[in-house]
Amino acid sequence: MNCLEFRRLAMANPQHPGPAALEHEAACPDCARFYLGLRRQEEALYQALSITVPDGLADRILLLSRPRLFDRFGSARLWLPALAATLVLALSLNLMVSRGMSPETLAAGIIAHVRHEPETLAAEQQVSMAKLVRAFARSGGDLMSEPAQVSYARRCPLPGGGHGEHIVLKTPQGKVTLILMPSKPVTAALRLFKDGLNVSVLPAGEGSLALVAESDAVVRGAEADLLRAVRWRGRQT
Amino acid sequence: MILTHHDFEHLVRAYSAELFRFVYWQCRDRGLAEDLVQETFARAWKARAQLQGLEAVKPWLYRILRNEHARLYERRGLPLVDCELSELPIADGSDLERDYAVREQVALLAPRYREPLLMQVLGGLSCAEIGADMGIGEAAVMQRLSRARLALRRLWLGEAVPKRKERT
Repeated sequence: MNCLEFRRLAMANPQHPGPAALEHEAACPDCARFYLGLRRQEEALYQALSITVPDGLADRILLLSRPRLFDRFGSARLWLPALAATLVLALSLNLMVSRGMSPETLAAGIIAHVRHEPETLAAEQQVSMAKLVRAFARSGGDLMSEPAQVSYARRCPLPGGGHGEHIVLKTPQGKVTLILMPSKPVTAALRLFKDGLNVSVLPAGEGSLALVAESDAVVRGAEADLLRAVRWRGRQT
Repeated sequence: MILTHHDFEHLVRAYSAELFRFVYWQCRDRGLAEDLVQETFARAWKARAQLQGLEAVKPWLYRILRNEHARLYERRGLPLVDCELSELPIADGSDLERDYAVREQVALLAPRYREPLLMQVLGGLSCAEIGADMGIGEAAVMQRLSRARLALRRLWLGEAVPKRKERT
């Protein structure tokens, strides 16, 4: 792939230019600089377009849809209690309308992020427990014990804007990337396999976390380790 | 597949926000954007038998919303013009000057470039999904996205803005 082809692919889809493009970018300093600028532009674009959504939008849609859903029952006496229950549930779970990108887009962005930084997996840093505790604390978690040996830890920009913690855990089954994202709330766990990587996005505190590895078993093992090692403030993982 | 009431609620909660943002940047009217999203979900429920599996749900919802938006212009005969930039809402971020400048840049894009860009940036749709929704090929989508970003990049880097706007 030449520089022109790389730029064509990157401009068409900065989040997922494809493995061949990323290989070229890793070997070409000019294209690496170009790509960095492009991703910053993309983050600014996403941030600017992410306007606040009217409060209760989803609830109003459901409210308006309910009579249609229950038309076949013919009587409001049958569907009104269900509608009321739904509204109460929806109001009590008003965290459901997430701000920012969708969980799928976030998961795909995380995969691109991990693919973009292969050196973080190769790194063998000495990361102190104190640094790790601070990283989790910034993300709303109290680290009760070391979840696994840590070979890399640094703050990093997140897909769609904001910052999180990029940590590589060295588990007995293999390395797994952990991204703590305090500004990216998700309402439910999501698993995705893309570009040869498994990612699991989970609610964590007021935000979320993502675990990424080639093997799904490694991801699931790390999930269990984290559950034991971290106590999250706010919502639970 | 059969979309259950439970599935439908999940869809509303998962996608109403991004659909609202997408169509807001097309029509620049919060009330109208909300109406269009509501109508989209109402039509989606009615047409649930057409859904080809949950993995296809997002492009399907975008397609319905695009049709609703287009139908609105047919009904009302509204002109397809770029908006005034006054009274734009505040984003979730904190860099308001930058956000304003970026929106100004997006508003300068012709709809044929802006629409796929919004679908990719806000909805995370692939070029193939955007192409299927817009009725154009994947290569054409890639070309439009590249041109949109190139135009934004010129403005981003402070280069001169072409005076003539491309129209659909």
